[in-house]
Amino acid sequence: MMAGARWAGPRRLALLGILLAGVLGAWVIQLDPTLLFGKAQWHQLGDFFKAALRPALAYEDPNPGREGIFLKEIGGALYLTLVYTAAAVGLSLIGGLVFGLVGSTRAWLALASPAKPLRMVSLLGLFCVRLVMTVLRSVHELIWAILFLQALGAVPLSAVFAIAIPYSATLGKVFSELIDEAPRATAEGLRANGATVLQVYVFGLLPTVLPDLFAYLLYRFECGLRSAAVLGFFGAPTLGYYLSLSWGERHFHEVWAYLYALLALIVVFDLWSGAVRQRLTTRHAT
Amino acid sequence: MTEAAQAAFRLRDVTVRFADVVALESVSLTIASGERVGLVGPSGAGKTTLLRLLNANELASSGQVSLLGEALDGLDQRGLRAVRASIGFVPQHYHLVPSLRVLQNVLLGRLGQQSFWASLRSVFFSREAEQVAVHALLERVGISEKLFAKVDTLSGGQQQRVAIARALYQAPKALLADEPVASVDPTRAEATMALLTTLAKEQKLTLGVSLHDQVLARKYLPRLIGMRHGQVFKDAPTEAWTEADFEELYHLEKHDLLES
Repeated sequence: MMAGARWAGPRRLALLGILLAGVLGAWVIQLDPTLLFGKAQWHQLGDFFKAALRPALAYEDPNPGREGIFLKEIGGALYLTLVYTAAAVGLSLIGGLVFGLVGSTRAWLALASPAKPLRMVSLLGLFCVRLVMTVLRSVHELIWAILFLQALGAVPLSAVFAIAIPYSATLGKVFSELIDEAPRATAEGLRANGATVLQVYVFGLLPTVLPDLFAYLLYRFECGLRSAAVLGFFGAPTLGYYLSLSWGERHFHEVWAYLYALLALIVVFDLWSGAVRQRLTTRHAT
Repeated sequence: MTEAAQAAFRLRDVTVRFADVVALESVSLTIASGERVGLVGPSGAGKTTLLRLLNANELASSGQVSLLGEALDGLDQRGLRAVRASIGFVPQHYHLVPSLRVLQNVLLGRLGQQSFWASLRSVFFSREAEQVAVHALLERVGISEKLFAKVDTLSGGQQQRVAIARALYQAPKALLADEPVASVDPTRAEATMALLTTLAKEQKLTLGVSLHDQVLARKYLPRLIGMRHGQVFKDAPTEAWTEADFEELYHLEKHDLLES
């Protein structure tokens, strides 16, 4: 009896439901697994993966129609990917710090504290800010890129804004949660000196949560590197741009060279930020 | 009017409620400017709430509170901050910012008197004059060599003195200390009480200290207010407090024992 009850537990039912939905979905969009066994497809894929073993060190076409040296182009693309990411994440740090304050329950309640009727107004304000943050966050950076390309054209600002807007809201959400969970004590201490809400935030709460905040910022920077690279497909002069050119010409060896470059960038950044995070947390612990 | 101007703190029939708990119940008292007063009584009697009320950090649910001649009723946020800025508060657990240096923590004492940009400049790019002023205060409380130390590397007693220096840097008219001797060893406790009372005498500050230690209270504070169940149990000059008074104040009733 017990075993039977467990079989029909809510988790198992949910798992079963997801499986059924998967099968149903595949049937509705007519997924055709036989395609996987077609010869032509495998041939093309084989070409692509074989190229992985020999990434290009020079242009595959002797007259590439692009000027300069291939390896230098990769270096330039890596550099610009890094610069675009830095600009976008730097901008979203500012946005995130602002959202971190105005999106925190603490700030709104502190504003309302002496006059109790203001509490409802405060909670309404908080709800509106959170709603705006959610909207900005739930629109993907590629959609923002399309919007800004329409509005501003293919200028660097389009790519930077496309990343900075959703990232600001994401950073803001995480920062405001860190702020709301920070120990009350330091905020109390400064409030007792007559500090304003903004002063309590900057001098009491931010220094307290700084290690966690910085660790999360590094993680977002890594995501930013990938986003900036992909935005190259939309015309930004980052890795994705050159990747799409080589892909269009079916120069798979060049494609792999760019992919390895991106991989190297991410791995190096990950190793570095891991070391920084380690140092931050050990210093925090002592 | 003149009487009100002389009183540092004046409470009339003040009640403080948190949700369904009554922390203070119809408390009336006046503390004159320059007076040194001890708040005594068992834990949960309302001593901390009373101190927070005297710093405008807690507001009365009913009754009148006037601090340093200002009636709190008519004050907006800005007015409340101005009152808080002129009263130094040393919390029981010091409430310092752990990742900042001692110098910066003391500089934070003036937040209430500065605009945001002025405070940003002062805390992160302090001028020599400010460093000299902070150094002098640290010398006064006996830890001047810690000027540039990170607060989280200090002992509890040292942190307490940073908190006292921070309160003094406010250039306050009154100094309040919540259980300053509850979490330090006996020799430190004696030194802390001596420091607080000397500072209050030197700078003519009104002093309010909550504590449990009967001996220290008798030695350093000329007036004691006993609190029990959120009400004033006895408010008298220290010499009028008898051993029996203290015993009754701290005597646990049967239902107290059962509750705890």
